[in-house]
Amino acid sequence: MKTEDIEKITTAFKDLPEHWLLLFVINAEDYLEKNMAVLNEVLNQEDTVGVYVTLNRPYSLLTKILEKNNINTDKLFFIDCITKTLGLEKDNKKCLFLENPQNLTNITIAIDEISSVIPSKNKLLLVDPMGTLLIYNRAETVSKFLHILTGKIRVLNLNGVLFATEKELDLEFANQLEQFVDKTVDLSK
Amino acid sequence: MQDGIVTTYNKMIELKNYGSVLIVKDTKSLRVTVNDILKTLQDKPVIYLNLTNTYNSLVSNLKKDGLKINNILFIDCITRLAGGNVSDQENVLFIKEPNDLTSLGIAISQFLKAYLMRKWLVLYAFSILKIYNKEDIVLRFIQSIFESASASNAKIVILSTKVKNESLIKKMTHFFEKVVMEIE
Repeated sequence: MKTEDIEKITTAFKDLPEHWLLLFVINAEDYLEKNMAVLNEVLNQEDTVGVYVTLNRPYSLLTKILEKNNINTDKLFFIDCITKTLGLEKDNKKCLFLENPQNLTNITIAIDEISSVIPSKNKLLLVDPMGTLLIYNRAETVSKFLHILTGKIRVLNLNGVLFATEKELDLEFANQLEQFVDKTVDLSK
Repeated sequence: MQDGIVTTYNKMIELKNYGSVLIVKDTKSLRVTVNDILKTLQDKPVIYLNLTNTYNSLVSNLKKDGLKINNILFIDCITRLAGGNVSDQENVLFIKEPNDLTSLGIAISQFLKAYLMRKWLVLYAFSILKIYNKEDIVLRFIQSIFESASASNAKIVILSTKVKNESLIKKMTHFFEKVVMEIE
């Protein structure tokens, strides 16, 4: 990864309001590497406990990737929106398995439930990657969901990190996302 | 009557000379601009409708940026929608959801009447209304705001991004005395 990107990731978390919401836009080619670098940075912050909403990687695979990249999964709970669609669900205390990324109401309910039982004051919500929502839902529905989701992050006093792949974002979706967050960090170049 | 479309506009103070201003910029610049406007209007009564952020978060951000909020009345369209607890406060009205334009219009009128002197209505990211309402409904709503503002001696500043809003912006421009377009 370029030094410039490492610097962008480090500085992204400086000079933020008490509770914040960031969007990271990453190019598809380096997605995993940059995604892990962001996670590493944000989870290293003191007392952070995260809820990771995964929209395209099953929980079992995701945790393996995280562990391989030395990300401490003890600090994470998961909402998995993909495993059930593949028929691979296994019970797990650290993960809620949702039917599919189409049921956006269930995603917000799951966020409410998990974040209410996390004891830490420094709670973090990660959603990865946002563009997947557009595969399963109409753009208009996703727009409303984004508005409610980002509102919920603020209402629950969470911090938020949203990930998006540059190529999945059409101009309108990217524009809306940018309006809802406090800062957009472009790691796509 | 529209006064003209300019491509460069950095003197927020100049806005005080116009009864109504539409500012169209990219998202990042828009966020900075709205804070610049609020700073410029710090000694004036302001009614601030921000469609992208909750009241608590907004107040915290404004304070962090060194803005005084004593003269600002807020209208919040997100907190209730996102399931947050709301309690009545003198300086904020919570609208159930952004498709409830009747309640939103009433809230604006109520706050416009709260100040007798010249006041400012600042509407940030108004295009979010388009997620919840049809374009012609939003247009009629904007028209009704102009009528309320005119009746209450209020000036209007509306800020928006351009992406996918071209049609609405084009239809709206004739309402404004000044249109500021700064698109990269």
